[in-house]
Amino acid sequence: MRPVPGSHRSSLGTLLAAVTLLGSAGCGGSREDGLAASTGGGASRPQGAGSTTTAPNTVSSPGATAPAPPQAAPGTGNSAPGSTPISGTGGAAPPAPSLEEVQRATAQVEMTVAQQPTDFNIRMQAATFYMRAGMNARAIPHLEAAGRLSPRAELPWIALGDAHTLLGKFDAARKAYDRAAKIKPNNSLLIRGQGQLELAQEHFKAARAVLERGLKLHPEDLEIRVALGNLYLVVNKPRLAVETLLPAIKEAPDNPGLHSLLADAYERDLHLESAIKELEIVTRLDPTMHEAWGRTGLYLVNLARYSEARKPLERAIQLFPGESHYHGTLADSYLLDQSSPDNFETAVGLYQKALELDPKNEKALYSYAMGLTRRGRPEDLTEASGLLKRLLAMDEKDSNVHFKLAETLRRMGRVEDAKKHQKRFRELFELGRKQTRTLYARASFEDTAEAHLKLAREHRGRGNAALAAKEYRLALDRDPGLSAARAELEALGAVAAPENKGLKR
Amino acid sequence: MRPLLARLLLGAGVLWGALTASGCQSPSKPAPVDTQTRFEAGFQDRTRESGLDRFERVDGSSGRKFFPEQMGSGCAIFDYDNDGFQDVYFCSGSTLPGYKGPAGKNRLFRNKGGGSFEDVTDKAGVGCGKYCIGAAAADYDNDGDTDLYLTCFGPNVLYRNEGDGTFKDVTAAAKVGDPRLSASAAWGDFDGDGFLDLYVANYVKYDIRKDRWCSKFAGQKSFCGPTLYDPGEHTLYHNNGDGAFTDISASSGIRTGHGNGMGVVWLDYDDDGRQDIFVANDQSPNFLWHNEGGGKFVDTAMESGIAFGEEGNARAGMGVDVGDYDNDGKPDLVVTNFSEESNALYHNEGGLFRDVAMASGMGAGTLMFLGFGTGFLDYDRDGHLDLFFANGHVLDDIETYSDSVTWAQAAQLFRNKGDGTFDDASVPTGVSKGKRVARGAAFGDLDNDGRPDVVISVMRGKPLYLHNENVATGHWLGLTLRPKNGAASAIGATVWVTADGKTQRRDVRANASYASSNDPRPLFGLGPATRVTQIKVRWPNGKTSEVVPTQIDEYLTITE
Repeated sequence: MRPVPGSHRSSLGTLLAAVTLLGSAGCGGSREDGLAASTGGGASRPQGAGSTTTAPNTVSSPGATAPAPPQAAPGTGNSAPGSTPISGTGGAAPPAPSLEEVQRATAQVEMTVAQQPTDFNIRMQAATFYMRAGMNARAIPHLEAAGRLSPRAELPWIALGDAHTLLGKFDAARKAYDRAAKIKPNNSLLIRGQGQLELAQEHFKAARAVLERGLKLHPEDLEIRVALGNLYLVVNKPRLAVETLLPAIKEAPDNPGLHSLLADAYERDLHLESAIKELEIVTRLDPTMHEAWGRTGLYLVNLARYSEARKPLERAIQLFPGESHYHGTLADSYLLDQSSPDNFETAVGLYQKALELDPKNEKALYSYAMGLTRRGRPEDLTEASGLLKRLLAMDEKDSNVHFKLAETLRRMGRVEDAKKHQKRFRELFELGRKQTRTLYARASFEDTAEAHLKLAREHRGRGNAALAAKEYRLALDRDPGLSAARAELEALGAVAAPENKGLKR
Repeated sequence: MRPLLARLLLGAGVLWGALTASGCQSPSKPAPVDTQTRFEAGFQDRTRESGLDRFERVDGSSGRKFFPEQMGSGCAIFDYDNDGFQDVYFCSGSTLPGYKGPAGKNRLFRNKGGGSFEDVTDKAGVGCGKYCIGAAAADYDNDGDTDLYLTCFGPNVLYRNEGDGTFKDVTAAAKVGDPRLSASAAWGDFDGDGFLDLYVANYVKYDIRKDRWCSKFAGQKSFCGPTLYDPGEHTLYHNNGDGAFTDISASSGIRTGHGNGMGVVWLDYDDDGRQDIFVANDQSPNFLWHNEGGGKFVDTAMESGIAFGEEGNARAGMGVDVGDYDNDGKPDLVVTNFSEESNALYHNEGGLFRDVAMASGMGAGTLMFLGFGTGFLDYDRDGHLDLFFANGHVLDDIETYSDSVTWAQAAQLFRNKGDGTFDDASVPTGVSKGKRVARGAAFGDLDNDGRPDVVISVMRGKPLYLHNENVATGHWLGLTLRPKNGAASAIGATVWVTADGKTQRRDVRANASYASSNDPRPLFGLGPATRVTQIKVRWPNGKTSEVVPTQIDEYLTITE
């Protein structure tokens, strides 16, 4: 099996997956055709069981390139249509309105506004309508009008920022938020919007600063909390994501989307057992969430619990038979389980089904090829070499595929062809090795007293006395004679003293 | 190929004399056995009863997590006093900066027979006191008793067995005090001069003053992986035959390789009569040093298909052993790896290797374990080599960021079904009882009952002695080989035993697994066969002997 943790999952895709569960208008956020794209949030997206594997990114949310939207419709604080509510039962949202219904409603809104163009509430309601329908551009003139009508109200500007963010007009969004900030800088909706604006631009550091500040000011705000938890996943801080999301679960224990996001955080934090428990809650709350069944199966396969994995995967397939990854993962559960001689043929059938559904399912192609090379009949090797070549056509730089193809061709007696792939494998391997080494080196340092002293000073400079004290102590542990460290630690005074008492190895 | 010289057929009288001398069981007609293996007794933890629990390994830790701490240590099974019973030696770590506990000390336990051992460390003079990683036992000076080479964090040590129950540190005179951070070492005669040469697998270039800080969790220090350091330079010492060695690492070509060396074995993988060397490297491609003759070696791991795992990844190679698990006449290799990497089973396809771990049914069961010590052993004497793994993670804080992988782990035993595939027999045989942070594992028949036992070195604390008490197993035959050069064992010899028309191969070696040494006596399970029709020995010097034994279920001594 290829390495499992979800390094290939795109950050934006992950972000949007969570945004969707927040119950945003984001499903249709980039659409201007008057139709909300989805009524079921993330549950309707064809997200593969392999969403956390090295399989191709299957997070293919409509509007995947759209910025992460705010959660509330303007001025109301309510969730937009098609959302999964943060609290409540977590049941399915009402169905999307038809095109005709939307057209009729649009006409009615415009007529009402024409009758009372200077009414603040009418303008805000009109904007709300359009944003819920995903027609953000049409909301903008109403929000601008509302802002002019009530210059001391922050909500029109916040909503205007949200609408511009959804449209990808980031400068305009920032200006709108700045206007709101002058009126009420600590408004939770504003902070959330500012965070989403930074996220949409992939300014993760800035987004983190905004959302962390927001959560400090509004620890009860679930949407800021969830957005921040999700951001931690994006920036590969799964432990922080877990810590941030757990209180949200306490507040909204029956929200399947939250449990699903927490499962994602656990999985990335290498806590597969905890992830499975969360997904069990998801499937109990909403047995139709095929993605949760699929992920449960995937994690069980990763834990080498092959027979256990089959039931959830079969359920996922039952709910969403068109998802190639479910079939591929179910195939894995048979291929890797040699308790029955029939398992190999079962796996073959499932891989073929997976590839029929998605001929570019890399994981299925690779696993199927691996299985064939393991059985190793001449016809298996021939078929495997074909599958491996298909993989190379998709990604010529896949060193593992070059390696496997070289070995397979060698076994087929095609020594010269094998040598070419072996050579390419070596080139790619050396390149990867250098990159890994550089990456690791960047993330570590020589554990000397001087290094810790330097870190202590950096923490002190940033005003973080506790971390500075910790580093000073580490410096003194490495070199008790380092007088500068001792003096500076003492100068930290009250902050350092209590922690000193607890310093133990 | 070396020339096959005159064959020597030993008479039954010679064998009989050897049998009597070695004090083995009296001959009697072998009884039919129930070949259906039963596991009522399985492997039993006899650590306390045996007295081996008097050893307690020290790792010198103080929370600073110096890189060498995670390496743990190995152990050795060898007969230091030539009394016919295999003794046990444990390596210990020692003091590191910040450590406040008792100093570590290696221990030698003399096998008194009857399942008990006495601590003879001080009398033998092998306590060492350095930060010991591995023990490679073999008779390097051909004086008939087994010597001991220790790999260390710090200069390595060679103890010469004086033949009177004591050892002498001859490191300086022998010029084998490799100062690098060594993991495993192994003895083998690469030039056929009758004297064992020495390969030292070095891990990384390491200076404790430049230990690196890695953090996997909340700013706490975690152990770093080996790729943050430059890979170790490995060493090959040529035995001059006069008690001294010459470092030929550069001239032999060994120094051209750079790998994080962990386990090492000698083997003649292409049966050209010359001993080659395999090194399991941690996160760098493995080495397969092909002996070109003339004191030259070339790394053929890549073209032989053994440098990487099944998918072309440089895995975290730890321990290694050699055995012909499918009885096709060619030596195969097993290599233990990191968690989420399966252990490797490299099937020898005539000088080319293929990792068949997953296809064999063994691989998937090892994915959640980090393996160190390993060995091929026929624990149920059915004529098929089984696989043992001693497991334990390197990261003592792994459980703070994983709920599916643990620091302490159960050992594993995979039973060879005889068709190229394995069943996980860990639970029925009892080897999975209890979790430990295991490192080296040594294999040997400590009570001469024809059932291989296992001794495991544990990271911090007492070792584990798994006594093989599986019942109703097949017949067996053990061999003690006495080469003409007077060495205590015939390291480098190959033995073929034929019974019921099936031939099994064993290559005689002592040093394998992780940083450990095994009982060098070839031990064959015979299953239901009640007689052996032929024993063929290819001695290290290329000469061959053929023997038709009259008895089985005992140890035979064959002299060249």
